[in-house]
This record gives sequence, structure tokens and C-alpha cells, in this order.
Amino acid sequence: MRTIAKLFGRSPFVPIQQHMERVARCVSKAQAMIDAYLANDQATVEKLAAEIDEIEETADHLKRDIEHQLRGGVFMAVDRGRLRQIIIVQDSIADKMQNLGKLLTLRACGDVPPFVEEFKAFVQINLDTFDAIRQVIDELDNLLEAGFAGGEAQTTVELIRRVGELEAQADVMQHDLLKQLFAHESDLTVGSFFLWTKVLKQVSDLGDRSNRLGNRIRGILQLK
Amino acid sequence: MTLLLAFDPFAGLTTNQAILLCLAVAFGFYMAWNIGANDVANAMGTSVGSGALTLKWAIILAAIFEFSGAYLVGSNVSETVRKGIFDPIQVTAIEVQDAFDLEEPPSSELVTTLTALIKEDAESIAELEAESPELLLEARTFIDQYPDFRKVYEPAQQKGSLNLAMGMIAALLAAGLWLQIASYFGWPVSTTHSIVGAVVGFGCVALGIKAVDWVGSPGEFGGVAKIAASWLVSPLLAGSIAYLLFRFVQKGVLNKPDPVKSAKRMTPVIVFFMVMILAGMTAFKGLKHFWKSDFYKDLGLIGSKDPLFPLLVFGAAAVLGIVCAAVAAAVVRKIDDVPLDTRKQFEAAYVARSLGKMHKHMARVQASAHGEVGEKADSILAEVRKLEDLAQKQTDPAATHSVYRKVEKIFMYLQILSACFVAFAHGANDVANAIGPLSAAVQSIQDGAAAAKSTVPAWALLLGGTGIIVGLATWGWRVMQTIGKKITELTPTRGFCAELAAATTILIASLPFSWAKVPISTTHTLVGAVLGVGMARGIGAINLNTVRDIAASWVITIPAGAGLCIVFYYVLRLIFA
Repeated sequence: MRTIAKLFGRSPFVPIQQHMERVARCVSKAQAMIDAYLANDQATVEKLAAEIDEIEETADHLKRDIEHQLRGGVFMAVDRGRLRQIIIVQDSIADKMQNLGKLLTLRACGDVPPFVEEFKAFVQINLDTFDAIRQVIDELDNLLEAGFAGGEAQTTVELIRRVGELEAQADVMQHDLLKQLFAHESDLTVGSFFLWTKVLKQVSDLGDRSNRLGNRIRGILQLK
Repeated sequence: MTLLLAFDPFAGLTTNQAILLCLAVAFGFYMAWNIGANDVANAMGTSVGSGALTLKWAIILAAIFEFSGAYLVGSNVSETVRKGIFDPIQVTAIEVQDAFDLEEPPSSELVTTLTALIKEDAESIAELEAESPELLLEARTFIDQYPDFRKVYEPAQQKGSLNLAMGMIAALLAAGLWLQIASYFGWPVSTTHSIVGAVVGFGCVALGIKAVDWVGSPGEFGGVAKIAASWLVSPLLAGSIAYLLFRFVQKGVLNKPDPVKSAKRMTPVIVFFMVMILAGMTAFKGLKHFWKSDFYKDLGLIGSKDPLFPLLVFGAAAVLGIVCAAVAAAVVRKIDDVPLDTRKQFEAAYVARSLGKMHKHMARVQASAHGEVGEKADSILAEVRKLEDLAQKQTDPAATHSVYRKVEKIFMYLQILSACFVAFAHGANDVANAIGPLSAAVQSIQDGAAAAKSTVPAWALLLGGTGIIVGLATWGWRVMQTIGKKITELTPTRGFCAELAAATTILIASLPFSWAKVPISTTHTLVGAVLGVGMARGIGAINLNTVRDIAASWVITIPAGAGLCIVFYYVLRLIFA
């Protein structure tokens, strides 16, 4: 009888990892897009922004699918509400990258701002934060294997802690960058000043959301 | 050949009876075929899915263990299917009532005694004389009341036994057909429910609803209610066992600083217990006849009635367990230990976790302590925090994948063992669904009356076991293949826990105690076990719709089995009566 086989729902962890893979593609495109923007290659920026749009849409679909298939109850490895929070925060990372793409297509960069090196470092640390949280998502099936407890849960906590550390560093850098931006206030046009504040916000959101995702995942662990 | 010719099952039978006998054997085999075709996949499917066994080996192992379970332990439960739902002798009693115009049907004991007297069965009469002379007296007075007793009684008695045989044949056909329909549409029905439903249906039309043993005799819970209750209790029991077992595996293996080492250490212990239970069950129940045989007595060993005998069997089972445990230990020793750095990594995580606990407790102390103690606690807490940070920095998250893969590999061996265990238990429990009605039918045809003390004939068990294997070979492998692909969620650790829990529950239900001995549903027991693992956060997602479908199938299967059986019974009566 096929009763036993029918007993299993689709495990939500694989779709969440698939969703993460799409989000990661958005993030790597965004990275390339920022490079192109700083090189004043507006055609590439437009192309990449359109690509991010497309990937973000597939991620959205996947997110909706996962939400539909989520079930509740005591028999689930992870509580439905908590999984939903995870997928929502994860999806918002792709949204932020889409926003960034939209911003960068508004106008060409023109003269590279004086704080470009610091900006590149800032982008990098946010990317690192994201990479760290991506590793946690990749570990999810391992976590299930260990029943969300024990050494595996401990390693996950450690990974999440690193995400937090990186995010804290990114915050400090963002503050410095904003200071510099205001210091060069007079050298910039109103438009580019406004745009740069917006861009900084979106990039810092990448780290913020990654950190938030980490906190959500901490919620499903069984730590004693 | 000569042996076969000497055995003439048709001796002294009318043509109708001979045809019915053939039908009984054919439909009994059909039912057993159905069991093999559909149910057996549950036992081995998980092992095929996780890659622990190839399909070929799964079928070979399933065949061996199903057959030995059916043949060695299978007869316990058959009795319940045969006699637990209604008293088969009453079918004859009702005919006797009709023939003699009695106000109510005579008691089963009286019918048995009358039959013994009329057959001039000297052995039974002597036994009755010794045990219940008043019954014998009652029977003799009864006979004296009617001058042409023999002329009236014999046809009635034969009619009754024929009815019983037809009812049982109808039950086998009804259950088998219903199973095939259900498995065609993919409904989660159980072989046990089908046959119990069918037998209940026959009981209702042959004897009336009142004669069916719904709740057992006063003071003793039994009958249909006991069987139905077991369908609720067995998944619950299996679920609880599976939950505890998986928590035990989690605590004892998966969450240990060195999971591979812990798994290796635990394996021989588990093997020991499993083999001991298996050997003990086989020895006490399956080899019962062997202990009483002349061959064994001639060996001059301790007799089966000796008070020391159970102890001896227990000891032998333990020795066998130790031998198998040693083999298991040798097998798992071949698996490499985890490389040192990975182990260090796991230990570091363990240290970090312990420090985390210390941190928590220290924080509690610091929060409630005052004065000097409070100050000291302050500084210790700061130290603990530093230490915890240090320990956490040493944990490297990337190295854990290979560890779990190794643990799973060890559990693959255990899962194969537990799958064999399930196959054995399944054979023991489910063969009754085919053999119980079959042996009742065959016996009443051959004896011309349903004898009170009757045993399940060994050849019937043989037939049932063979039927299961044929079902497995012709159709079951395909089901196993599809199931195997779908239940990869049941990784070896999970599969092991679920299967061991289910097998234990099923074996408890086929123990030779009166409170056990119930035909339970193997499939649903396994479902309960899987849910138990799910409750311990072991499975990503569980589709509770299946549980709802199971409940629905209970509601449908019993009336469906009963209805089909009633239809077939009347068709058979039209032809043969």
C-alpha cells in the first residue's frame, strides 16, 4: 500500500534553499551592476537591472508556492509561522536588490564620488554578511538531520553570530560613509546627493535583512 | 509423488464440498497474494528508498522474513479472526434449531457434544466423560427425545458447516477483491480491516446482528470492539515508541560530540536486543511443535514443560544476540572514524554548548546573589562569557556534513535489520487475514462440522506464506519500487526508528496472550510510527491528509467488506445450497 509514501509532505527546506539560490543570483547581479555603474557603463546596468527583475519575479513565485504548501501542526519539524517569517525576510533581500537596480537606472553615475573606495568596501562587507547567512540556509537540511539540536545547532548559532558581527561592522561603515557624503555635500548635485543616500540605504539593507534572517533562523533551533 | 497421492483431501466429500474446498484454497491464496502484493512494500520500501538495499535484495529478504514470520508465528492471530468475531459453531446450532423446531439455538458445547456422539468419536466422548459428564448427559437426553434424531440432525449439521464454509470463502473473496479495488484507486485501506469487515458481515447475515461478538463477554473486553480498539491503540503505541526511540537516537547519537563514535557504540546493543526478541518469539511460539516432537525428546535435553525451559530459551536467544552483536560490531568497525579535525570541531561545539549552559546558570546566580557572592559571580560570569566566545570561535561549521553521512551509513545496516524485523512481524500478523477464514472453511468442509478445538493447520500457514511471496514477486516489487522513491524522506535514522517501533508493536499484538492476539493493521501501525518520528521534529513535512484518509477508509472499509461478503455469500448459497 502506498499509504506510507503519501504520508510525507514536501519538505519545505529544499524549496527554501532553492529560493535562496535565486536570491543569491539577484545579489551577485547587483554586485556586477554596482561595478558597471561606477564604471559609467549604463547599458550594462540597465541589462542587469532587467535580469534582476526577472529573477526576483521567479523568487516571488517560489515564495508564494512555499507559503501555500506550508502546513501547521505538531508533526512539523518547524513551526509554520516561523518558516513563513524566514521565507518572507529572505524574499525581501531580493526585493531590495530590485530596488537598487531601479535606483541605478535612474541616471548615470557621472563623476565617481570621492568616497568610492569606502563605498566599495561597504558593498563588500554587506555581500559578506549575505554570504554568511546563505551558508546557514545551505545547512538547513543538516539541521533537520540533527533534529535542530546539539552540535549542529551550536554551529548554526555560531554562523548566525558571525552574520551579526559583520552586520555591526557594516553599520559602522555606513555611518562613516554618510559622514563623508555630508562632508562632500557641496561638491555634489542635489540629485546625486539624494541618489547616493538612497543607494547606501539599499546596500545596507542587504546586510540588515541578512542579519534579520539569521535571527529568524535562531528561532527554530532547540537550544538548551 | 506417492506422498501426495496418499494425501487425499477430497476423501469422503460430495462434489459440492470438493468444489468449495478448491474455492476456499483458491480465494485464501488470492487474499494472501493481495497481502504480498500491497502490504509487504511497507516493510522494505524505506530501505530501498534510502539506498540501503537494492530492489533484488529487498525482495529476497522480504520473502525470507515474511515467510518465516507467517509460518512460525502466524497462527496466534488466526484464531481471533476465526473465532473472535462470532462463534462458528453457532452457524450449525442455528440449523439444528431449525431442524428440531427449538425455541432458541442450542449452546455450542451441546452441538459439539452431539456431533461427537453421532460420529461415535470415541476419543472425544471419553474426554467429555472425564471433563463434563453433565453435558454428555444433556446431549444423550436430547437424542432420546427424538426417535429419528440421526436423520434430522445429520443434514442440519452438514448444512450448518457448509454455510460456515461458504461464508468464509465469501469473506476471503470479498476482502481480496476490496483490497484490489482499493489499491487500484490508491486508497489507504488495510488488509486487516477488510477481512474483519467481511467476517463481521457474514456473521450478521448468518447469525443475526446480536450473535456477533461486539464487545466481548461480560467481564472480558473482546470481540469486534477489541479488534477495533486495537486499530486505535496500535498506531498510538507505535507512535509513542517511535517518538521515544528517535529522541533516544537524537540524544544518544546525533547530538553527541562525536556522533559517529556514538553510533558505532550503540549499534551492537541495538542488534543484541533485536535479535534476542526475534529469536525469543520464534522459539516460544514458532517452534512450539518442535519442542513436543519425538525428535527433540530423543535428544534428551530439558523438556518444554520444565520450569527451567523458558530460562534456557531466553539464554539461547541471548547467546544468539551476543553473537549477532559481535558481528555487527565487526561490521561497523570497518567504517572509518571521523577525521580528527572534524571530531575536534564537534567537540568544540559540545564545549561551547556546555559553556552556554554554564553561562545561563551563572547569570541566574548573579541575578539573585548579593554582597561578596554577587561580586564573585559577576567576575566569574565575565570569565565564562570570554571562554564561551573563545570556544565558539573554534567551531568550524563547514565540517559537519560528512559526519552525518557516516552516521546514516551506520544506521543503514540497522535499518536493514529493522526492515527484516517488520517483514517478520508483518508475516506473523497479516497471514492470519488469509489463513484464519481459510482454515475455518477447510476444517468445516472436511469435518462436516465446525469442531470447537481446532488448530490452524500447518499446510494453511504454508499456503499463506507462499501466497505472500508470490504476491511480492508478481506485483509487490513494483509497489516497492514506487514507494521506495517516494519515501526518501525517511532517512536511515528515521526509517530505523519508525520500523523498529512498528515491528515491536505488531509483535506485541501477536504474542500468545489472550489480551494480545489481535489482528492489527500493519500499515496503520507504521503510519503511527512515522508520525511519532515527525513529532520529535524528525521529518520535514508530514501530510496529515493521509491520516484523515485513513480514518475515512476505516469508515468505508468495514461496511464495504461486509457488504461484498454478504453478496458473495448469497451467490454461493444460490449455487451450492
